[in-house]
Amino acid sequence: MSLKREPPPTPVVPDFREIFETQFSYLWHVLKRLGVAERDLEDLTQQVFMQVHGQLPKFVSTRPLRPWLFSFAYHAASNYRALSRHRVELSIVAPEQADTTPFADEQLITRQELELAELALSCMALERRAVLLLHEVEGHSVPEIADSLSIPLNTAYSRLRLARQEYEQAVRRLRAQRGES
Amino acid sequence: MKPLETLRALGTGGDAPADAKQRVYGALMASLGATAATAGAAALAKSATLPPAPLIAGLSSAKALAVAAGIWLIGGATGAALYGALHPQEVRVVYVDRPVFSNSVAAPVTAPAPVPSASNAAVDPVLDPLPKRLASASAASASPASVLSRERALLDLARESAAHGEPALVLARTEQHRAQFPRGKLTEEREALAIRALLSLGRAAEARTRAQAFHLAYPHSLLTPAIDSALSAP
Repeated sequence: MSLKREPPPTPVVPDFREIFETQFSYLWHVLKRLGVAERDLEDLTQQVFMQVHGQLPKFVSTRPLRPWLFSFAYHAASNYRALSRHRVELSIVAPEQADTTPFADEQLITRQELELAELALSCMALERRAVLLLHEVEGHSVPEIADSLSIPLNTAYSRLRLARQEYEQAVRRLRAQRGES
Repeated sequence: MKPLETLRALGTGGDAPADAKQRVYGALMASLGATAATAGAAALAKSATLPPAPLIAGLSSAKALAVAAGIWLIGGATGAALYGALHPQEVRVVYVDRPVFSNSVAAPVTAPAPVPSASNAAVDPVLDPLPKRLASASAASASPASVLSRERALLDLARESAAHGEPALVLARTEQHRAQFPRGKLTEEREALAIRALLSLGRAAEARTRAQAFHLAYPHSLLTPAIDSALSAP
C-alpha cells in the first residue's frame, strides 16, 4: 500500500487584526449606507467582524477583500432591516413629485450634493443599493459583485441597471423637494 | 454634475469614530477572548497535530497507530521546518485556544518582551513532576515543531493551574517557561498568564510593572484590552 501523499498546501490566511485595523472604517460606512441606524452601528460592526473572524479560514486570498467583507455587511444589514423595530419610514421623499430638470454638467461638488447622494442612496431598495455601491462607488466589476453577493451574473447586471435608474430618480425627487432646478 | 458622478465622489467614507472603533475592538476581544488565535497559529497547530486519518484507514489498529505516529512526526517536523525556513522572522504565535482563568480575567494572547525579574524570587519553586505529555514533548527533537509543542505543553499546565485556582502554580509554570524558552514563540501568552496570576495573588504592583513591559513590547497586542481590563478590575 502506498502511503505517498501530497504535501499540504501552505495556508494563506489574512490576519484578522490587520483586517480589523484597515477595514473597520470601510465596514462602518458600508453598514451605514446600507441603512443601519447610527445607534446600532457599533453592534452591527462587531457582529460583522465576528462573522468575518469565523469565516476567515475559508477566505481565498486571491479574491478581493472588500467585496467579501461587503457580503457580510450586506447580510447583516438585511437581517437588521428585517426586524420590525429597525424599519424606518423614508418620509423624506415625496414619490409623486417627479422632476426631470437636467443637471448642470459642470459644477463643483458641494457638501449639499454629497448629502443629497447619501440621501438618495437611503431611498433605494437594499439589493440594488448594494450593487450600486460596489460598482459605482467602489469600482468593482459586475462579475466580482455577483460572486461576492452570491447572485447570478445576469441578475447583477440587471440590478445595476435598475439601481442606476432608481438612484437618479431619487436624486431628481430630492432636488425637486428642495426646490432646486 | 451628474448624479452618478456625485455618487462616485462619495468614496468609501472617511475614518470611523476612533472611540467607536476602540469599543468595538474591546467587545470583539471579549467575545473572541479564549478562542481567538491568529489564523497562522491555528493553521500551524492544526498541521502539526492532525494525523492523516484517510491514509491509515484499512490498516490494523497497531499498524495504523504506528503509521499515524510516524507521519505525524515527519509531517509535523517537516512542515514546521519549512514554515520556519520560509518565514523565519515573521512567525508570531498567539495561542489562545482555551479559557485560562476561572476567575474574572479573560484570556489574552500575544507576546511580550523583556520583563522585569523582580517577581522571580517570589515564585513558588515547588512544582509537581512534569506530566507525561510534557516529558514526552521534552524528549522530542529540537525541531521548531517540537519546541513549540513543549512551549504549549508547559503553558497548558499553567492554564490548568489557573483553572483550578492556583495562581502561585501558574506563576511558577510561567517562570519555568521563561527560563526554558527565553525567546519562545508563546512568550506573549506566557506574560498574559503571568500578569493575571500576579493579580490573583494580590501582587498588583508587580502585575502593573509587567503589564507596562508587555505594552511596550506589544503595543498592538490582541490581549491588551483583556490585560487592561484585568488591571482595572476592582
